[in-house]
Amino acid sequence: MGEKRTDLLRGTLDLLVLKALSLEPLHGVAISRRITQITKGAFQVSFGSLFPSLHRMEERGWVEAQWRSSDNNRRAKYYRLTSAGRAQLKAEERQWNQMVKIMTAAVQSS
Amino acid sequence: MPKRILSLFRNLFHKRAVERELNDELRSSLEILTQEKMKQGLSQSEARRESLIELGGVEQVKEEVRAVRAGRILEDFARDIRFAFRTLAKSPSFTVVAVLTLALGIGANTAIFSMVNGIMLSALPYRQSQQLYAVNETVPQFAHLTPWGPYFPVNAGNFAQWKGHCPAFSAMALIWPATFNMAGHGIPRQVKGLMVSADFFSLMGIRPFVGRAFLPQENQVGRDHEIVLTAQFWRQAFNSDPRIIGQTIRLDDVPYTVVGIMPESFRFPELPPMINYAPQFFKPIGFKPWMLWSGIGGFNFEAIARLKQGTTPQQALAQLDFIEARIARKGDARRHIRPGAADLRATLRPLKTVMIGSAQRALLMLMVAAGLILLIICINLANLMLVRNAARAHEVAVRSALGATAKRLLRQFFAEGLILAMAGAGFGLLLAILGLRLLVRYAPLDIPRVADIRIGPLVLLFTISISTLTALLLALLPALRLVKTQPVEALKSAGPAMSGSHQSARLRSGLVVGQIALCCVLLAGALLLIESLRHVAHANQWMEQQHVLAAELSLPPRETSTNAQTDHFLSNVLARVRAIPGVRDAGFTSLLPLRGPGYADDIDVREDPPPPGKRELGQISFVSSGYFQAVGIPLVRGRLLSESDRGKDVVVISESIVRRCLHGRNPIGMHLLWGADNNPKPREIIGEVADVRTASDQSSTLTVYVPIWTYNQTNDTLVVRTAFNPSAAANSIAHAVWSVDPEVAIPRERTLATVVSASEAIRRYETFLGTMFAAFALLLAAVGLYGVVSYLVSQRTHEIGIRMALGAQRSDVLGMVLREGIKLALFGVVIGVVVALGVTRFLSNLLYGVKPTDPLTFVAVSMLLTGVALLACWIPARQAAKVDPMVALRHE
Repeated sequence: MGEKRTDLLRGTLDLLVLKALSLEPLHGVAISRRITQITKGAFQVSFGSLFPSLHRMEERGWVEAQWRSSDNNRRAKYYRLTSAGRAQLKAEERQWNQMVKIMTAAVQSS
Repeated sequence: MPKRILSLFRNLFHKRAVERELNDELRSSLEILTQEKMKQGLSQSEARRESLIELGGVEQVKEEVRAVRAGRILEDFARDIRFAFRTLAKSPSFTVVAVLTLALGIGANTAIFSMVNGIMLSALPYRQSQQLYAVNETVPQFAHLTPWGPYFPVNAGNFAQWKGHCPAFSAMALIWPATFNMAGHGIPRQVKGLMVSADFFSLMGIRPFVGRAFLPQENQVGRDHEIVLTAQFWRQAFNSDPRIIGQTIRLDDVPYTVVGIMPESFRFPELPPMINYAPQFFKPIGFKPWMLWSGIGGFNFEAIARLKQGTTPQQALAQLDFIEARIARKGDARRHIRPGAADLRATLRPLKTVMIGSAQRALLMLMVAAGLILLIICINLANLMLVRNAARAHEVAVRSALGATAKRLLRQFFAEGLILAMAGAGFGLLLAILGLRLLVRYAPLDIPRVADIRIGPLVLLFTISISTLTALLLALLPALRLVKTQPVEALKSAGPAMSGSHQSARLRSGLVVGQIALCCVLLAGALLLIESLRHVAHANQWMEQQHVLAAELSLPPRETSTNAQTDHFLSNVLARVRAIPGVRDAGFTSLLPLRGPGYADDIDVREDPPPPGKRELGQISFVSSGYFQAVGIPLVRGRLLSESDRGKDVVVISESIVRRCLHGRNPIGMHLLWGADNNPKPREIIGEVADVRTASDQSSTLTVYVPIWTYNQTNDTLVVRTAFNPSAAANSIAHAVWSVDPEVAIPRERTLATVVSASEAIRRYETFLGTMFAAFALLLAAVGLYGVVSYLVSQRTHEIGIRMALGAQRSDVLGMVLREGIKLALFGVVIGVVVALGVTRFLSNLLYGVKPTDPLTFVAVSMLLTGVALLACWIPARQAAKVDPMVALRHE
């Protein structure tokens, strides 16, 4: 896998994770499911990418983790957006929209 | 990002908790997934299997998470270092050799850099020191006649004309060293002063920290009786007593008032005749008429000037030269210099440049040499690491096949290099601190700014930088080669896979040959120096030195105003010293043997005059009766000086004069003339004595001994021969002198053995340095040869195995490897001997009693080097002979 593609994916992944968490705190598996849901099945995030992304964002202070019981009474690590995370989500959304605009214009030119 | 730093600490110091949490998280995720799948109707084991697949392996996910954690790089680095420690500990002999040579290399670089830094790089400790310049005068027509070359000291009369007429300078000052006798504070002593013009301190931009500096009017004769003390002298002589300000001190019988004390940090400008002079006080120059004499004998002072901001040195020099030209046009009636007969010009050089002077080139050369040595050390060690890693090629290949990246491997080598370099730097720093103390403190050489040489922050930074560079070199050289190795090839052939290209093998051999040749040259030089030292020490054994004490006396001016007065004083001292129990003989001399050249003049014997223009130069030594007996110069013919010779014109001469001027004829009764041009009185030769030398390195000097009562001078040496340990008599001798005049200073009182030893000190120092360099070169050459031969062996293990399987004996293998190494060594020795034969003649003025091409020395050098080379090859050769053919072949 080329490194550039990973980078692109990683940036996208962070945005998707932040977006998935924007409504309510979720645990890892639930985040994965939510992403599949909001991308209408287009993205199936592997846990090998999701967990590193979560831990990196936790170290950056974008998300906070908390252990609590899940719906069916299992302890799980729930991630919640912090205010820094919310700001980051806004920034990344803006960046993404801009990028889409630029890329669309670029592709449609000629 | 404080949050990230917190995480870093957590990751590093609470690693177990972090790992546990990760484990829990993955476990709970796995359970959630399993439950989800069971709800969809899968059996528990099925659901668990599917979940594991979806998760992608617990350990793999963990590894992915670890890879993004803060502090990952540090952790990896720590692991690399731990691993490197383990590998180094496995081969202690390599590690010791590597650390030792690196310590020597880095130590030498650090020591020399701290000298370069202290002497050359750091600014002079004066306000805006880059504006300070040394001014000299020059008369191109006379430049070749003077000991100063084109840079004459300054004439005070000319200086007076510059002052106030050169707007390019904001200030100018003259300085001049002079010694005085100080009485009235404990025992009388000789003290060193610096005569300065009054604005010296304001020129340098430093004020006394107690009291005041000099006033302009204090440069007039009669008003120049104020002094300023250095902090060091104030501490030593006056116990840092602040009440000394305003008190008087008697110097040469004249009272001086202490008006100020300089701060401890003040360093006086060490212009060349005053390097290491270390004055104890400053006194205004009272300009007497003779000081202003404009003849060539009147050029006595060193001048310092401060350039105004925004003025160029060229403008300043033009202003000076304008005045100089005017002075030269007027000529000098008193010296019969016709107007315009001689050019007079000024020179202007930055003060720092002049202070550093000749040290600069030597320092830069040393720095380059030390850098080259470190480079050679790195290449040698890289070779050795390559050999060690040749054995590891298989391991490396396996690791890179398993996915270790080139970057990872490089980091591994860097860690090893870093450990070696840092250990080397640590020991090297210790060596540098010790070495500097020895090199600088005990150096009998003139090194300027000694007080500024120390291991400061900049030097430490330098050491760290060169150590890191060393580590990089040690890592890059072998790693690049290994990384280039194709894993597949290495795995296939199983043995050491990299056969270094032909070219690089030749380069390695060439380097070793070069090192051996260089070592040969250095060894030859060192051995020649050692041999010379032996000859010098032997030549100095003529005197029975242990029981002779030499006391240097500095007489106050009142004792030396006339010949008769001086004679009276010396006779009185001799009478009292001879009365001390245990004293066998005592006498005075103007200059001891081995204490350097003194007054010399033309000599000729009236009865056997030399052909015109062929006069010999002789040392004129003024001695009293008893001197020859006291110092131990044996009589050859005639008789020695006695008290009955008073009033007669007699001399005693050395054997060498008889040999040179009289071809061995009996000189007794003949007459000698010395300084014939202005002293044409013939003196009767009454005795001939054995030869002595003025310096350890000289052959015996033609010496004329003239009775001391015909002359008066302030510095004489009292020589006393005692029946017992002379140090015990030192005190009573000093008191005998003071009972005649309590204000005589005795700057030095030491045994003749010490005088002899001191005269050999510079030679001993040079020999020591030379020997150390040669020993170091020998060590380097041995390590280099060992590395290359080991490398050869490691590459040929397989071949050796085949040879042995085919019936080669161990001794055959041993011989084969030894031959390879010795071939290189002999090649180096031959080149080295040829070069050394050409080069050692540049040493000839350092040699004594041995020719620069002394055959015995060269044989010894060749044998020593070949022996060491044999030893260096023996170790890998024995390893080669120990190769088990079965193992070597099965490895295939």
